[in-house]
Amino acid sequence: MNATVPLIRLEGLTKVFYTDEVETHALAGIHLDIAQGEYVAISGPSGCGKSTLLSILGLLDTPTGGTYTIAGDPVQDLDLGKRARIRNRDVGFIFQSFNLIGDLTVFENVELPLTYRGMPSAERRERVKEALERVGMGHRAKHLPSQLSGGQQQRVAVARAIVGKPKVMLADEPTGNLDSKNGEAVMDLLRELHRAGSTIVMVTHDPRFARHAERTINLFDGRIVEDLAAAEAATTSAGVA
Amino acid sequence: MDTLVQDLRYAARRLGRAPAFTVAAVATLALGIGANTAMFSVVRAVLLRPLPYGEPDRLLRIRRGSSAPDLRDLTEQSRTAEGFAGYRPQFFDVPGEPLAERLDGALVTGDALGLLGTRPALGRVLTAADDHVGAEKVVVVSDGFWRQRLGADPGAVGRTFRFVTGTYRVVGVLPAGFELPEAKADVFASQWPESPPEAEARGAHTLLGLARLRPGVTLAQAQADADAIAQRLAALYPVENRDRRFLLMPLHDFIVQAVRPALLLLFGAVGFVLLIAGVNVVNLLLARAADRQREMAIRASLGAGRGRLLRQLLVESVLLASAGGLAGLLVGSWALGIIVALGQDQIPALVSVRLDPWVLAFTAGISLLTGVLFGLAPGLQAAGRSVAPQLKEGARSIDAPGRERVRRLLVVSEVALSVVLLAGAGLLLRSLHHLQSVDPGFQPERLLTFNLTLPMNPYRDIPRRTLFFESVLDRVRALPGVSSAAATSELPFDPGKVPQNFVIEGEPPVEPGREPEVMSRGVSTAYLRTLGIPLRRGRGLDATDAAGAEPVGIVNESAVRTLFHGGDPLGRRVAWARATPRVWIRVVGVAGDVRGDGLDADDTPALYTPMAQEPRPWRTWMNVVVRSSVSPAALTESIKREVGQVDKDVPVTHVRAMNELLAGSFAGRHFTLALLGAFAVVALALAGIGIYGVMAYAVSRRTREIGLRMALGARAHDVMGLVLSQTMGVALVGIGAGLGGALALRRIVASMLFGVGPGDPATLLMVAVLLALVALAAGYVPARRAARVDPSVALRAE
Repeated sequence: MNATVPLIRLEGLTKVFYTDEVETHALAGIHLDIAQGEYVAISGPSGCGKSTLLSILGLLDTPTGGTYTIAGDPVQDLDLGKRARIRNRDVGFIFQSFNLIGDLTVFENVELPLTYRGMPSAERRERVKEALERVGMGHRAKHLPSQLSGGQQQRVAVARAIVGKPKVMLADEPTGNLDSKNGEAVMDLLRELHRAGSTIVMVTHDPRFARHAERTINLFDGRIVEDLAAAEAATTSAGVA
Repeated sequence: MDTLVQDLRYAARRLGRAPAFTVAAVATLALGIGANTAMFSVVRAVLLRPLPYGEPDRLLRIRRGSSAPDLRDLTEQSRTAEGFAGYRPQFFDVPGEPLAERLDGALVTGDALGLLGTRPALGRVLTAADDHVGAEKVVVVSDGFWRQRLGADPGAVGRTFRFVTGTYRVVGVLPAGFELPEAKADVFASQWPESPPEAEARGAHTLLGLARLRPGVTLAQAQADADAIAQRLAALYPVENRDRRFLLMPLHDFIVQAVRPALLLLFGAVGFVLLIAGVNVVNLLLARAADRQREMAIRASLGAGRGRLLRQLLVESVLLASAGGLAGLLVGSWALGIIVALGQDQIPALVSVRLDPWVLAFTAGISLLTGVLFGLAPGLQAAGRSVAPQLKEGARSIDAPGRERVRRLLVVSEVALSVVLLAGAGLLLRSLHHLQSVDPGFQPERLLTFNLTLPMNPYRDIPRRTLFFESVLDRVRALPGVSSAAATSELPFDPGKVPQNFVIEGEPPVEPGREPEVMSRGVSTAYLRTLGIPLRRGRGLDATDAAGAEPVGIVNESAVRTLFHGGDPLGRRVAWARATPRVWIRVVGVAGDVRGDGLDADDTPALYTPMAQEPRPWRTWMNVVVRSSVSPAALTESIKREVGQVDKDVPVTHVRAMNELLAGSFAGRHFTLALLGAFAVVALALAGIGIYGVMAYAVSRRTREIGLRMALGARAHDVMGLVLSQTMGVALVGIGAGLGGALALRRIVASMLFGVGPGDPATLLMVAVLLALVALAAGYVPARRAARVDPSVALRAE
């Protein structure tokens, strides 16, 4: 990849929801570059557009206007199949509610993205084992999600996000359903992944966790109102506090 | 392949973890697929399986009875057929104690067996060389006969076998399983040595005529050729062949023509049942898909494309349908046993029905099709939903109004299909009811009948035959419990009766061959009294109507109407048109009509003549009718003993209660009704379950709304009324559509109805009311559940 081209670039991105006769402008002209290896937190009050932005970044949703490029390639107008392919290969998701599939074992949950990639079984097995070991869940491979604690489930979700070695990991309030101890553990895990070179974009409304990122973007009414480096964010946060 | 196996494993696991859903869906599909498997087995065995003869596509049947001379002329003159031949059932009696034993057999003309493509297992088949004046009496026997009577002797060919009528040389053994197209036979003999007068009589149209087309000849060409020959024969033999066409028809079509409409109707009906079952499963899958929106969204977020998600869901529905197919095979096998038991008397081919590889392939095919077809809609819906909202914390699976509409539309369709089936069954039921209330014209209760057929030797002499029958009747009348006994050449409701041409003295002459047709019955003097047929005018037959006295007869009311144009027939004379010299029969009485051809058939003109004055040498049989208060089983043994006392070489056969014959005349309708009724009941039950399922699901999805309504003051009966009104709304739309469908399809059942129109308002009204009641019952449980919703719990739960 060209060093000058950011991994993610949003230019004038808008998203409008139409319900009956009401137009809701969830995102109103977002300009954002995220470089390879960055750890970015997106913050803001409820309804500011954080999750919508993350959904668009993860190609789960499409923008109404503007452009979106990943490693220089425009992706905003791709068809469903191509978007699914990019989600599978380039994006790893971590959700607030873990979103593990209850009928699949831990191993099978983590294996799922590789299955969709069409990876041979032996290679899948190795990769899943490695990912589970990395998050400390190797010993729970045959368990069902319902047999795990919330923290353990989120670790599995992280393993599923990293197993495909994506270009970027998107985390939507990854600690929202966890107690503080488990929350910290997951944040430590993300930090380790970042140190190892992963690009992470995390939505959080909790300043404590936003501090883990090296850059914080604040949204309000669908617009970026602040884009702060870690030190600035810490200062702002302290000032606010 | 690896991922497909994974999908399969996952689908199996999911189904295993939802046993209630799986059992409900598999059982529903098993009913639909099982019914189709059973009916396809029947349709395949009866309508689709080729006849078991060499190159059966080239075999034709002459529709009406044929005479041996006509068949010989056809063979000689035809340029389109390799040959013509005929056969007819003929009993062969084996001497025995205390009575002779009767075997089914057939008289064949020319090369009939060769024409069917039959190759003997041993020896040879009968040929034209066996069918001429003075030919040796030889027989070909069935495999069963060879095993049971000839000890499976490999050297049986050339051996002789003694029947009551004489000793025959066995010249061949037919292969196991061989059967004539329309007759069961163990012994086959050529016509000429066995029945010379019949073989020579051009007017004796007693044979079932067959033809084999030359290769490449069409039916139309063969018909044109046969028509040309018929014209030549009509010119040469105007008395016997005037207006006689040799109407040709593919043999297979001829054999199945009577049962084809009913079987196709029933096959269509099970198609409806499968559709209804499928609709229920679609509704189950749709409800399940709604509960799986989050899972599908997770899979999509991990990179599963729409096709991949659809595949996952289709694998699940196909697996479900496969389990339904396997269970359906069991249901089908069980249902087939019932169908065969119900219908083998009407459809002899049913005996050979099996779940063969074709049936298994059919079941596998419809299972796969069902899985794909009925899994597609829920799959497309589940795979096509937007992903992001479902992944959010606290996201509820949202049932879009469109999806709810689809579910209700599906229920409307299954109610409509059920109405169509129920309407068909209802119409057949009312037809049968009408038919059973038709007066047959006599009293069939407590009447036992049996057949006595005399061998020509020593009964060639008519007075001797009369003496035999009179002796038997005297002995039977003397049995305890017997109040009356009589004899008749033709029983009511017995198929195979052939009318004869008559002329009426004093009427303007009619061209030969165009004389009025009358069913002629030779009877003993007590016949009308024994059957309870009323004598309307004149006198009955009595002992004075003996051989040598003036020939007399009794006509029925139908004959008075059609032959005598409503005038007084008493004292007038009629005669068989073909008899030479002409024998005039004086009409001395008028009897009431008897629905002899079936309760649904029109009355036909009939003439009863005294058995003692029977002029036809070939009529060697009589059916004895006994009215008694004794059980048929006990009476049968006594009768056999008494007949044996008169002549032990005359077997007593076809022992039946008259009510059996009467029931047999509408057994075909009974069979169709029983099956259509059963399918309609299954459809009704499935529709009820479908309505219940959709309403129960709707209530479960609307718990919060119902709780809110109750919090705002709605009372329990308001909520019940809400749910029930929605249930009835769906049901009434379905009923309306179904009634429209039933009216649109009325032509299909019209030909099977009696005494009721295909759009009979009373039947349709009853069906509508029945469906409405079922819908009400199905909606009641969810409505009650809705009425019991605790508003505080419902609102908190959300």
